[in-house]
Amino acid sequence: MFRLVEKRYLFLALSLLVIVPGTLSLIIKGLNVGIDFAGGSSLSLRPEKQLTITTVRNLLRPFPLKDVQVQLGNDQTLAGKGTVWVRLNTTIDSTVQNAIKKDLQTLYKSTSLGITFDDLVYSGKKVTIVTVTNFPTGVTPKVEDIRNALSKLPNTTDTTQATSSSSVSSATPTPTSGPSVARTPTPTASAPTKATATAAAQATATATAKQVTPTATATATVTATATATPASSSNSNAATIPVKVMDIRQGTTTQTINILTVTPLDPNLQAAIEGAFINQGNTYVQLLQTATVQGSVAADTQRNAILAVVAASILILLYIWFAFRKVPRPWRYGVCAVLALVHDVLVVLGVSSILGWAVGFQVDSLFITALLTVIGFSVHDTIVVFDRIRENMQRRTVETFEEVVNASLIQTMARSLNTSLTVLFTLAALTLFGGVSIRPFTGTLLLGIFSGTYSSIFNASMLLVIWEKGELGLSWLRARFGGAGATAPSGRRARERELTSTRG
Amino acid sequence: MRRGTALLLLLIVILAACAAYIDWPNTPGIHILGINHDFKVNLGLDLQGGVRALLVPSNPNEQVTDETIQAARNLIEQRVNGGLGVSEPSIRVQQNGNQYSISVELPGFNTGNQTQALQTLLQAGNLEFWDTGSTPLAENSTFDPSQYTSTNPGGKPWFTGKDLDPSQIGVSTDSSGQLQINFAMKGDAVSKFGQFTQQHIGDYLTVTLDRKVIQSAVIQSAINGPGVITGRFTLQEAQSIATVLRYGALPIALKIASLQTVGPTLGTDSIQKSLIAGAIGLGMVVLFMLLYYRLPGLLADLALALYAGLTFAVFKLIGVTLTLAGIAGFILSIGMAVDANVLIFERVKEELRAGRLLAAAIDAGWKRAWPSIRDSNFSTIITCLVLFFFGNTFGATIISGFATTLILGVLISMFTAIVVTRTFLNVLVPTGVINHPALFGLPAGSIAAATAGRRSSL
Repeated sequence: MFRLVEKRYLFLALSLLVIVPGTLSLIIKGLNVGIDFAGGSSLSLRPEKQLTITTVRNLLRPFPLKDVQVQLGNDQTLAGKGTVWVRLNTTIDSTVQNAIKKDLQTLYKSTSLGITFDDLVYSGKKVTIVTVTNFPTGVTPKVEDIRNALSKLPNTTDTTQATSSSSVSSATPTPTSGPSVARTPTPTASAPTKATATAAAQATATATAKQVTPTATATATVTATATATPASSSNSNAATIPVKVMDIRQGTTTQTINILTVTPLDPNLQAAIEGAFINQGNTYVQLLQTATVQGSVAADTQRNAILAVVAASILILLYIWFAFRKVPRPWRYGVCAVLALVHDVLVVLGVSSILGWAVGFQVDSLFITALLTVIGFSVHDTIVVFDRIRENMQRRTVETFEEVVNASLIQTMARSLNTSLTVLFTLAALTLFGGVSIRPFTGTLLLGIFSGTYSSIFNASMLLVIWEKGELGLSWLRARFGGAGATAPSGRRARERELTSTRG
Repeated sequence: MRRGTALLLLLIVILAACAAYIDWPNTPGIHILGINHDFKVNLGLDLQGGVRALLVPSNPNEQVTDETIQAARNLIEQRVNGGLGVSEPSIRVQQNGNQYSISVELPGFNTGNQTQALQTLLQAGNLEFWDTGSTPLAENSTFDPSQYTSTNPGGKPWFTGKDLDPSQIGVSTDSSGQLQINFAMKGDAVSKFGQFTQQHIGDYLTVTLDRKVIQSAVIQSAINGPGVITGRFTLQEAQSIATVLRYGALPIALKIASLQTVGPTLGTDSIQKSLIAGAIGLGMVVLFMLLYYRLPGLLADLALALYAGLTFAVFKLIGVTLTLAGIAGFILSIGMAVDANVLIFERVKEELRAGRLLAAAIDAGWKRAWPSIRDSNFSTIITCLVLFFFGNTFGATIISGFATTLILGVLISMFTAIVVTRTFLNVLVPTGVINHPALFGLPAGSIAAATAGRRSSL
């Protein structure tokens, strides 16, 4: 017969080997929380034509977006053909912008047109793309009308030079909260670009900025008004570059693309994403909304979950105490079951924390569910083992506590392993063959269930024995609650003493 | 077959038939005796999509802080979940500069009059009781407090939704079949309401929700207990008004700025993959039980199938929204549901090895395994109740949702693993066809003992 109980310190040491580094990591590094807890940013785009979710995902792949979620939507209130994109051959200054606005407003006899200017990199060259929305009710814009209206545009100054020259002098970049920024995006937006672009925007007083004329929609787009300082005034460039309309496209869909990511989306990154849609996806997009988002798990949910688990643990302790009232010192069973539970929670939290910084494992709202499942399973498993000890304590009256525990462990081993095996089969199949999206969830469960089985066999019962024998400085506890002598007797008398004490 | 066994078998067959009817993919539902239930599977945002509404503060003069928007968010989450916490919405507070908005995504909301239903659910929910003297007011008209300052001191309502006892709010029908919302005051308001109605008999008591009249009726007598609000509601309206009242008014007024239907966040490939994975996992469980426990294993597998069918039926009945993770959890619970059977069969095997007769071994095995099953499941039930209480009290719907599904799983698995398997065995044992211990995965030695023992006892 296996003498499992004799190796109790080995089993405890094994647990500590996982728990100690895990807990340290948890304290120092915490958990790598995903968007459900930490929040992040959201970006709503409206494409020119219908895209599939795979296309969108592929377009977003090159960007350093963490924990990105893509959701396609359909907003019937957006007029399908009510958005027109105009690509120019160059970036333009405010003079040309005003000219375009005037032309379009004259064409549609409306001052409430939504006209935005985005400077994006198209085929390696930075150009301005004009997005026109909010046409008067009942009016469906025609590409030809717009082409004619924009056929005679004034020359522009070289706005790229203005940007680069002024960026040298300014060294105080403001992050995303700036009122408006000139955007010089590349598909992989880098921090330096962002700084210069933002600085330039300040220096040139939004001359080349993304400008949104007031619209009636409730989108939270950054709004700015054109200011009196054109880019040309900051250096002496003459308006020599002719502006031509290269491409005009009209929207064909009411589709929306909602992107959610942990990564903060600064205007540069946004512009880069829009650029990717145009360059790689051959689809113009309109920015509907951008915002920072808070987690979808309410801020106090985590605290409530912890409180709930603590309350549940106390009740479980009391219940086990009551259920085991026929064996001596029943509270010990309750305490040990709860300790095994704490063990499993620490293993799951600790390993998740380590995996968080080691391989970028992210904790989402399902993590709470997984952890709660593990807690339920852990106690369930422990009680089955304890129940056998309870039964054997009454039947096997001539064995020491240690022997009874050992026998009980061996007897319940088949059941413990079989139950865990069926659960682990299911989980392993789900983890290995299931979709990537549930892998963190099933992986956490796999770890937790494994830990739960281990702790109920190798920890909970071992702790009972250690407590019973007054080891690990627990003798004072024993003296206080157990009533047995603190000095350890030896040999046959010890055995008798123990038998008397354990059988009450 | 004993009478009790026969009755149980009948019950099991009836339950299985009901579950099959509810689970059937194109089930016609139940539409008799005033019950209308379609038994639709609610799939989560990740699998099926739904609607996404962007809510913005509708009153520009109202101060919106991080706290109020958070409180509004939590209330909306509670209203959407309506108690059980199984609706799986995704609600996020958004911020752009100092402008707040709330993005609400509701799964499977893309049928019917969604705007109307959403609007009822997202209304501020300020219930007010006014004394309008001798003037009855038309339902749905806008209430202007400044016209009734003589009967309402300071232009303030006598009572508001804050005075209601949330646990007593419900929907019922009166004798004529009209829908009404039941309410009762709480704390001090009970006696104040009694006094007020006593002193104002003959006056019109006008009830407004967000300053829209929902009822204007003469006070007939002092109301010292629960009261009812009768308005012209549809059932859905009455229920959502009750829900809104139960959780209290939003701290800020919101309006829907944009509304869009959204597609699933997960591709169909990941759903298929997970379902296949689930099938593989369950197949392994079924095979394992069959190989390891033989005949009882087969019976346990049947009980598992019943467990899956019953649980899914209950999920459909109470409207649990299934996300991919929810399905994974469900599959996992099937794997866990064999636990009680494993416990029992291990015990039965032990008893058989100890030389007991089959019938006696089964009896003893059940008896011996019962305390483990009882205590372990009871502790899980305690956990569930605590989690549900916490989740519900503090508005953490994710916790209460978990507790709801887990407690259902535990209860149903106890029923199938204990009652169902036991009944199957009880049906089979007296027939003698299973009197072969090899069917229990036991070595040849115990065959003789058990069969001989049984014969000699006859």
